[in-house]
Amino acid sequence: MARHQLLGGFETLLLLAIIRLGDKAYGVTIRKEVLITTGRDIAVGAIYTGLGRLQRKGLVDSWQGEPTAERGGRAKRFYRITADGLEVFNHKHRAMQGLLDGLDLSAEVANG
Amino acid sequence: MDNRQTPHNPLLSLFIGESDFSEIEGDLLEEFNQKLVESGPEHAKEWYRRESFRNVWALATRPRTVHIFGSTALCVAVFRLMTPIVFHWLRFEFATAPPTGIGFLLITLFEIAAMLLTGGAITRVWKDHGRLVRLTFTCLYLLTVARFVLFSGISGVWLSEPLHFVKDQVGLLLVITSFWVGSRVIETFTRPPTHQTEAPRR
Repeated sequence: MARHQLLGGFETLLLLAIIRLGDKAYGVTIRKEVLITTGRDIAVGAIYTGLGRLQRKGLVDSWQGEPTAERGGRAKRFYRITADGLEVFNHKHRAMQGLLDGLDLSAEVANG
Repeated sequence: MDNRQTPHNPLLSLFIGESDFSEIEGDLLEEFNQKLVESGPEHAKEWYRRESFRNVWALATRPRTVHIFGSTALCVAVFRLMTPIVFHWLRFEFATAPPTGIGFLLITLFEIAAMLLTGGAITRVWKDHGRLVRLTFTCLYLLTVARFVLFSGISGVWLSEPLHFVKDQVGLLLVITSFWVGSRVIETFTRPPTHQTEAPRR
């Protein structure tokens, strides 16, 4: 069952960035999206390590684009979320919301 | 793009065997070219230098790379432990023989054969990572030799016996060269044909 797969914090960030970027999700755009939305400047090599992990879990899918001159003749690899990926993400999101329901975090902090 | 401005980090090319190496290099070049237009060559080059080193670290800490470092370190350790054992066994075997240098020849042959086999075998295991394996082996082997020289007092022997020094340097060179030859031979024979269509990643 896909929904029982564990999703780490970094993997969740990558999945969210891929969902937000739609069909424009590849190394450079994912890196920039994570940088803009979270302020975390992650090396592209680390992004691909995470993407490889997600791909082995079957949560994302990839395909190769055309080589371009500005990339020194190297092709882009685009990523998109799979149905399993979406299910796992939604499951995690619901679980987080369930845990947060009824909690007043500002009061918790004030009470120490 | 002007080829004179294309940056290159030789350390990054150690990881050429990684399946996503081409994408990483392409992404770095794409961002470099964007920075070149936005902020000029100095800033772009500085960005590329910093970013390529960050990527070297990211690639060096991948589990697969850590396994390559570990298994190469194991090869160095086993070889460094085996050599004195073989050396002492040969000295025992040839204790009564006249000093014709056959012991040195045999130990040299053992080192060459062992390193040819080790270099070939480990390159066969870590396909496409031959460059990384060879560099790791060389660095680790030289480190163990440096440690031996510093703590065993061999430098005193070398000063009093120059021939001993020459023999040891030849041995060191043979060990590293044999490992490289074994590794390169296997790499050449197991290299996949070029112009191959890309296999699906799933």
